[in-house]
Amino acid sequence: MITLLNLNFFRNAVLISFILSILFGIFSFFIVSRKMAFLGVGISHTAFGGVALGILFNLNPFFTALVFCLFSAIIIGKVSKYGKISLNTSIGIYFSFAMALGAVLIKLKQNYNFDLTGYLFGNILGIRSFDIWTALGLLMIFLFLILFFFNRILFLTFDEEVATISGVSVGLLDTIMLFLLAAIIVVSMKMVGIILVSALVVLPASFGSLLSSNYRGIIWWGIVFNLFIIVGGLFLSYFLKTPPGATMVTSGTLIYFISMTVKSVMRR
Amino acid sequence: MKHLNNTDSEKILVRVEDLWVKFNDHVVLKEINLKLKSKEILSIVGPNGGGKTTLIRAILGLIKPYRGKIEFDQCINYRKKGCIGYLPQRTQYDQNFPVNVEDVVSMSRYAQKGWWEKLNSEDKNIIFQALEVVDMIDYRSEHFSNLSGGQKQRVLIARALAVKPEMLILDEPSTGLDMVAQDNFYHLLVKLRDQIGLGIIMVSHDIGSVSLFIDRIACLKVKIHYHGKPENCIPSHALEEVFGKNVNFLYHDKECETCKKNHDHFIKS
Ligand SMILES: Nc1ncnc2c1ncn2[C@@H]1O[C@H](COP(=O)(O)OP(=O)(O)O)[C@@H](O)[C@H]1O
Ligand SMILES: [Mg+2]
Repeated sequence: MITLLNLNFFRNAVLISFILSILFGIFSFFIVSRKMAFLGVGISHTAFGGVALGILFNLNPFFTALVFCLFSAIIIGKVSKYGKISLNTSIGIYFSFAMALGAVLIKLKQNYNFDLTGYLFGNILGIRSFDIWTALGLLMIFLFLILFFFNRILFLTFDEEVATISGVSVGLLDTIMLFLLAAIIVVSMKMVGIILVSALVVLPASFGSLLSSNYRGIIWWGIVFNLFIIVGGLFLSYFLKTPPGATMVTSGTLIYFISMTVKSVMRR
Repeated sequence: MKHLNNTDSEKILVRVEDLWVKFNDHVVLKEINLKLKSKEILSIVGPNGGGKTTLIRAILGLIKPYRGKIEFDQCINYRKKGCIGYLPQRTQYDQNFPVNVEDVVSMSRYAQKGWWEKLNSEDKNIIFQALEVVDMIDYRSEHFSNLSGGQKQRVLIARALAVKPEMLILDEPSTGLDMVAQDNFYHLLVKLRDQIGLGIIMVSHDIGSVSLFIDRIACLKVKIHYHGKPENCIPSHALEEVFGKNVNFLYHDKECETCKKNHDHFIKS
């Protein structure tokens, strides 16, 4: 264990895991209760298009993915509004487009030995100190916003219309939420990968709501669950020699299924 | 938002002039003229689909009117500091949202404060008073989703009251309340009007029981077919236009004095 933590890349991975556990633990609650889970799936997949753009133009994929995700969130909203289709349909159209675009762009940039699976499923060897600092920065911004805006976001999540009438600036808070969603997804890209990250958006709150019927409890249990599956999953993956992201998501989902079954059996 | 120039003697909280609302060329509201003064209860009645909810949502700025003017008194400044307490009709919110009763009512207080502020003892008082008024104080730690429909409704009314509004807008508030609870609720509205001086707009599709305690009534089906005192004198043709021929809610007397006096309120169809 000690020697494991002496490995630079592994230490970085552990640090990021802790940060992600807190971020997803809190954020998951809002995403799930606003029924935005599919938006999380959609936006995380569009990150692939953003990464490809970065590769094509020799820019940092982190920033291109972040900008691209934000841009995508806006476009998804507009397509739904002007195309008069549901948000989910719009997400469905857009996220496959963004992934296809990514695949085309990467092919255009030939001879590039690009770690495709690393971005899709995560690769902790790719974590640099830059990633640690951005994750830490995001955590600070996030905790600041949550500390001050928590109750407004709660109101908005519960009852958007009445929140508007009562003086909550829905547009601003929605924008902040979208920005945070995009940022969290991009920060966790190297850890769990574009395809798997959406599991972390939905699992913690789903697990938490098995154990508590109050938002405080749901969030705390979500964080505990995350520490268990993200940090724990990282160590497990090392010993089983399995990919970390996939290990986290597999074990997390299994834990959720088992808890859910236990709970419904106990209820009878 | 447009403001009215009120004199002291009569405070008009909101005035609607020639309001039209269309949804994709389908006219839902037309030529609506309406006003609400402080210390009065105005009831909007009409059949399902008559446009009651739409009218309220237009007043609240949730729908853009096709035409017309909506003006408020200076004291109403919703969206900045909500001076309007609102109880929506649709139960679009998540019935199982993981909060307790006190959390729900607290939301109104948080929305009224700066984002850096926490709730103080005064806010706590307002929350407790609002819960007391709707007789839900004993349930304050109860989980919201465990309540009955009528209890939920009362908590949401407490949430509207915790805004400390000048004006209450209630869309079919008696839904889910049994007869006794309905009666108590109407008395509560009268109390709010007389003691705090609130102006209240209440949507209802049941004109029989509301007409006993409200100040004015407006019958709405696309247009306002009658607008005036409720005292047994809504013209029968107005009732028929709004509710259809087979309805006989109110005793009607063609020689009713109040009715004659109020004929200027009546919009010919
Ligand atoms: N968002 C909307 N888009 C299209 N039509 C609507 C919308 N909201 C209401 N309507 C239509 O407007 C009419 C009035 O509805 P509503 O105001 O809900 O009536 P009420 O509250 O009196 O039952 C109905 O015919 C309804 O179908
Ligand atoms: Mg309605």
